[in-house]
Amino acid sequence: MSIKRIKTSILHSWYHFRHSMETWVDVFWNSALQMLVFSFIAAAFVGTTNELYGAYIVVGMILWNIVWSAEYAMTIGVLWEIWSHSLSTLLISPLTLEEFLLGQAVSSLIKAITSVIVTATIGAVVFHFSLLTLGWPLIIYFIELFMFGGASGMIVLSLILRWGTDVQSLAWSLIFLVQPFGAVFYPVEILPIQIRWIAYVVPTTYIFETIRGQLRDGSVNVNYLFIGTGLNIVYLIFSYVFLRTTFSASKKSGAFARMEG
Amino acid sequence: MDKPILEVENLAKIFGDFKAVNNISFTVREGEIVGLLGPNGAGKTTTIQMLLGIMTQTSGTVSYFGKEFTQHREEILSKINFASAYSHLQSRITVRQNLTIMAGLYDIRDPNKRIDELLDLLEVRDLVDKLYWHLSSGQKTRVVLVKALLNKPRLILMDEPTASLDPEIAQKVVELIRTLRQKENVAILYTSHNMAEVEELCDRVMIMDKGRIVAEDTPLELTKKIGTARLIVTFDAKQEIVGKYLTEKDYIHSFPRDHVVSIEVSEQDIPKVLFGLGENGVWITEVDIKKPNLEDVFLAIAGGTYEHKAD
Repeated sequence: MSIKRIKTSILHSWYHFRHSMETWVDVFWNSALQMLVFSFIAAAFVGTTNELYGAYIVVGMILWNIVWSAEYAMTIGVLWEIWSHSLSTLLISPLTLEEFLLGQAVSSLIKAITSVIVTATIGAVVFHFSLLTLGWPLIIYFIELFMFGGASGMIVLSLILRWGTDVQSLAWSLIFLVQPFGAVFYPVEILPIQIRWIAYVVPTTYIFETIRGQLRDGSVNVNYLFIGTGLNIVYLIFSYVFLRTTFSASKKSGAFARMEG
Repeated sequence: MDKPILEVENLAKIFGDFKAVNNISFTVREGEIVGLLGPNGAGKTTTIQMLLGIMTQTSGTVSYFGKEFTQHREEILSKINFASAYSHLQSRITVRQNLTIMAGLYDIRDPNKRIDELLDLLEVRDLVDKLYWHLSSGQKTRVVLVKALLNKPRLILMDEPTASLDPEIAQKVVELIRTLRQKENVAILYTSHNMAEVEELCDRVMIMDKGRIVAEDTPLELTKKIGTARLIVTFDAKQEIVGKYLTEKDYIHSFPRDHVVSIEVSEQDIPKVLFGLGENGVWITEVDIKKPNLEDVFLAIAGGTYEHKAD
């Protein structure tokens, strides 16, 4: 593992980001507009039904951006290389897949932080909710959600490396399959009992439940954070092994070379 | 030209029942330029992809500098490089940004100096601030060549590097390759469909067909095995008379146009054929002798007649 090559991979991502209006729009513009809409919806709750529910929606929207940015920035970075037919040019240099992915992960972390700053500012202006009221646990929530986004990103990348650009739309869509079951905007009890078990295998459930608990009564459910961390570690290990396995299979079947050809 | 830089042993790639590459073995030595030729589907590209590690072989080994490739991947890839008319850099960033990235990955000292030197050498300095996707295919090929030379490689795998270049620039690239070999003793594995280029550049040529290396020698020795030259005779006589004589004497021939016959003949038989035509009342106005070249070797192999001729 070479630090210099990881730094170069980050620089590569930055150069690309500077020239890619699409990524700016996807990561910041769309997130900001969605945040605006959700903040107005949340503001509508104030004084009508339940202000706390408004806060759940706002915080859910702000912090969901971490998962989305981590997953999206990581996969789209690789997709841009595939669209340029330049991924193999990178991978026939001394750069390893792991170094490349770490570079992508760092740049997606920067994008996630920036995205959270943008959406949290909108939440503060429109809904008068400050994300900083969550205090130091916010750092843990951020790390947990970023880990889950990264694991999801590796799963999507695995599928793209194995089956090519036919499945590239997963980069935009797969994470939203998780969202209804991840208790992002509403308590897990809202879900029908028959499918509630799905929520309990998704790490975001534990993170957002803890956040809602903190907003409700100021307590932080440490047990839930441990479970969330444990699940994230399992998902990260699984997604990395899956990625390595599919990448090897792709090189063996010739799919990777054909995709680049 | 002594130490082997690249050693390939019994390399095979099988997709189901199809043997894309069938147990090939070869070496490339320091400073040697080796041509890898073959018709489409012969297995050249699959071979190069395996040599670069973007496709995994079914069996066999690839070693560079005496070290097994998969076990010493990073070390080996820092000493070799690849250029092709079909390989690309990131399209959305500028030429300089792309080359800066590649210089970083190859850990080049003083990268800007090296990049500028090579941009001047390949005459693409004016493209440095252009986005890669705004370049023509010929310009892209030259920028990819800059990338391939960044790390002063000891071996360059070149897959049709001049395919999209205009003749003037293609000739410059050929000269550059020759200079690189002379000055820096760079070894090159070179595929091209331009036979004249291969004949001009390569010390040794391997011809692949249906996944196997079917011929391997110097360009001169390969063409010698063809044995026959092509005699083009312009004549003033009835075509039937010429055709009858050549058929009787068992010479393979064709009439590319009126009053012109093309005859396949061994070099020592040329006077006999010309004399024989004259004796039959054929008035010969022009004679052109085309010696066999690599293209003839290639066509003979594609036509399945090469081995017979070689025997």
